[in-house]
Amino acid sequence: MDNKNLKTPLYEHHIKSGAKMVSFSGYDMPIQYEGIKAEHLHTRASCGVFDVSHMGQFLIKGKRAAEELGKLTPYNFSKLPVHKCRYTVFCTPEGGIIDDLIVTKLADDAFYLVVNGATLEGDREWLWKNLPNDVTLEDMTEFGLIAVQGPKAEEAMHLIFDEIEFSILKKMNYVDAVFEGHPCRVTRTGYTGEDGFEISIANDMIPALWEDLMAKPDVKPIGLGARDSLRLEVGFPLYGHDMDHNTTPFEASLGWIVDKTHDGYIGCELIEGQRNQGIPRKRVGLTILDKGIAREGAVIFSENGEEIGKVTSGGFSPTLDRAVAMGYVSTSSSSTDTPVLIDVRGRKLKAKVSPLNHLK
Amino acid sequence: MDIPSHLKYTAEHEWLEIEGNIVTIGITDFAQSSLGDVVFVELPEEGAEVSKGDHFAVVESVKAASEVYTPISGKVVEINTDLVDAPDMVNSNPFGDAWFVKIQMSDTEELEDALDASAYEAYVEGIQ
Repeated sequence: MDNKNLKTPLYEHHIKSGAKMVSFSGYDMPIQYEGIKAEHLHTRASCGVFDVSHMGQFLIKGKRAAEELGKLTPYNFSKLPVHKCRYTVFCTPEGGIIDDLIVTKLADDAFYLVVNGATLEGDREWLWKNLPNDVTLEDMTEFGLIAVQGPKAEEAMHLIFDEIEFSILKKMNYVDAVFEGHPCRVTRTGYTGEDGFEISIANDMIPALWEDLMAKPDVKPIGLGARDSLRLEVGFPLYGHDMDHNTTPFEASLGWIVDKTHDGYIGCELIEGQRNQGIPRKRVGLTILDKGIAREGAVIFSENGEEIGKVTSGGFSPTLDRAVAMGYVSTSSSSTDTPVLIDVRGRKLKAKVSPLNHLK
Repeated sequence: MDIPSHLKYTAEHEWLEIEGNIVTIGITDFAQSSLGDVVFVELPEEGAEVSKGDHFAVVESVKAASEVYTPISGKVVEINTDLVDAPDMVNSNPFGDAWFVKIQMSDTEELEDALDASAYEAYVEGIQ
């Protein structure tokens, strides 16, 4: 087979663990090891470890780095405290989302960015084009990323990073750490809705860190399949599916990341306009009441048969043992408990609008 | 990989148990293992007429929805309603409790393409 995909430093480990591999973001990635359902439930109950080395990592440095980042995002990074992380987006002049990312302030003049793997190239070009010469952009291609997630994530992390003060390292915070003499970046972040951490370390140290994590009690490797179902259950959007160039932060139900005291960033005019004038459609959670699964692309109808939107992510929730979904509906149909119908292969499944987080 | 010797198979990973002009259809151990955790099965109505190559059922796993195609033409005389309530049987017992439908065949010659267990085993090994 002609396979031009890249391999993460853990490729051999995944194969040895019996993972089923798929092509994702230009990488051969594990979709599952023992099974999506079991891996999903394990992460909710214990500790799951994910190879997310396909994601993009950048460093942005310079005296004016905060100011310049603030021109590309709806947030003023000058006011973010050092070692704090912030979820944000890059937008087009029309307010459409280019990517979502986590920005960590390492120092007043240094920021660490983690972006989606699939959008890495576009993000690099966007930053390259928009950052002035006195702000440097460093592509951290020589660094991999491992996510440690679940209620027992701290226990596992503590056994490896005994110098980290976990009581001080709160959610959305950063700490410098050392693994076997090598520096690494640890954030208390994740994409599962559980407590958890993401560790960035040089590619050649990724296998040793993975093996060390795997040797800890209650730790299992988790594939991209469960990563998707975990984030779906708690309503986290997936770029390219639940938002893209054609959706704005307010439409994507990400209004909370738009700082209304901040302006002058690319897309600001349109986005702030929507704050005042409202939005035509909105991302919502969908609870499927009939038997069946509504997946991406399924058309949503109002009770009287009018087309009102589309499912953008949908699947089975192992925690709830039923189907869950999210999608865009007309704003007039977006309030919780609005009854809707979703077309699945010609059958109209009864469903209702629900909060994005299905576990709340 | 379990491949019971008394059954016939298709290249689409269905198993067939033939009794007179009635054939019972399910999906194989290989198929369930490729699909992963099955969470929903959509079956045809009893009495439905199907033609060879039609999709007559949908298996939803956590990963994706997959259509199941009938290798024979005829009339659906019985569906396994237990499967709708307990779709995970497809994973736990693909050749037993997890049969999908019984079809009364209109043309038994359509079964000439069916593989026996050893031919199916060789076929599966070839694609793995």
